[in-house]
Amino acid sequence: MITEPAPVDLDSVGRAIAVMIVATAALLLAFLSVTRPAARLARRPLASALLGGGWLALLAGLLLGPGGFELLRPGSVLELRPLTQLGLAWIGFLVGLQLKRSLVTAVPPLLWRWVLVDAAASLLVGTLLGGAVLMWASGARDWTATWPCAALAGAATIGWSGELRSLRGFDASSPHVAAMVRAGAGLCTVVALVMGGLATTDLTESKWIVATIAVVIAAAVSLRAALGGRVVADGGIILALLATLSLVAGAAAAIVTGPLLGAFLLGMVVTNMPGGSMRRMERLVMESEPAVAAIFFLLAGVLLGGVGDWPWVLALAMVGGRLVLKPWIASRVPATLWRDAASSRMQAAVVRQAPIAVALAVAAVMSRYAETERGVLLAVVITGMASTVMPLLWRGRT
Amino acid sequence: MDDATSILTDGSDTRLLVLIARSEESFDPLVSALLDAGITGATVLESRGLANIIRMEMPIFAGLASLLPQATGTRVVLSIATTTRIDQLMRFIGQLPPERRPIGVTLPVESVLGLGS
Repeated sequence: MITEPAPVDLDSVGRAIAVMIVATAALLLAFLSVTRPAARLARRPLASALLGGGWLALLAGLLLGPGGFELLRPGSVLELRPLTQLGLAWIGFLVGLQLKRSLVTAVPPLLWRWVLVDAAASLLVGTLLGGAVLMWASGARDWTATWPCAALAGAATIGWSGELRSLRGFDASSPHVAAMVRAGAGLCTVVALVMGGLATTDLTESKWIVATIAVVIAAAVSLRAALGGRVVADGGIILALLATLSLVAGAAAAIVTGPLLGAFLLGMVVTNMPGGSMRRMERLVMESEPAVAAIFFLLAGVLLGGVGDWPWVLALAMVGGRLVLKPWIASRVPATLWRDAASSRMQAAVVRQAPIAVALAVAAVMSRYAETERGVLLAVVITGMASTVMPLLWRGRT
Repeated sequence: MDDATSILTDGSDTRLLVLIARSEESFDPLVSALLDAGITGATVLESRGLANIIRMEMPIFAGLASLLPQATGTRVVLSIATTTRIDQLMRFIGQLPPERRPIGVTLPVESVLGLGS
């Protein structure tokens, strides 16, 4: 007996196609960001600022998103949540991989002091500014409702961009200072990620935190079993890594701690484990940095918009805060670092917002697609763009 | 002129060996292979690949590694050795898994200066 086929749900088909378009655009951009022409383009100072800050990918997202040709929609991005959780886990893992014991012990006390003072002051100022603007915008009187987004603004204020090529001329005469600025940016990224992760975690649920740590340890042991003590081809390494990160991201999403923190802890454990193909895996992950950043900036571009004017006020406050706070801390805390006028000019570099801020804001929007989170994402993007342009203008004048 | 050339020895039976070990894991068996082939004199230089330099100049999320740029695990081995020993070395290297084999070249040597007799 021939039965009539069920009617095709055109809405579902359309949605599936839209999701496929977003995934394809993200993968295409990721591929383009690691090609030889992209590496060659990044040798030019202005292009270096655009690529290193992820702004070209963000522009692509804006053009393809609701504000441009409407090829990509925020709803389609949200449907890709499992994949973006994996992407966030990848970023967390990448940041955690920095914390190799030999590297951490080599950090001079001067740099620790600078990073810790910057992190504490930035977190305080950013959270207060974020909280004040959010309470004003929403008319809320209750601080607890705005706290997570305010803390997100605080975490986004921590640190600075480590990209210095666009400021060529600032760093050429002071390679030691340039290395310190880059290393400081890396350490601040660690602090920002931890703070941003904690801001979106319910710390009263200690059993979930213990569960996350247990999953991380199990994942690290499995990865060591798969890759330690023998040589594994690149394909095998990536497969083992994807499986492990999926486990960590999935478990973290299920137990409300978010994928960034769990994967960060995993990276920290794995980088201090010996042997086998672990170091090759680290190199593969590190080399994927521009591709992962491009994907998240593209998604940020698509997710922007549809909120009121208050994010512009928050962005203005955050840019103002950076302009006052960052050079002030840089000139006082590591005072002995700036030996001459040439190295002092590099203080302008620390005004620029760290790229992790955009990843943190995208993570917040992906976990809760509400106006406050989307507003903070818009504010973070505006702050990032404005703070990237400012040192370039300064450079033009000096 | 004679004084200047007298300190040089004929290098027709020797080759300049340049090997690049791409990681800590591939450097270790390379040292063993050099010793097994009887090449006991070599200069080892800490080095960085082009991809590492590009990444170091433009870190996005991870900039801490720029503090210790030498810790990449990549090393260049330079040595002047006889063709017999180099052939033996290549046989040892050929037994390594492809991932652990170094990149390398051998170049003809016209004359040698400063190596003990």
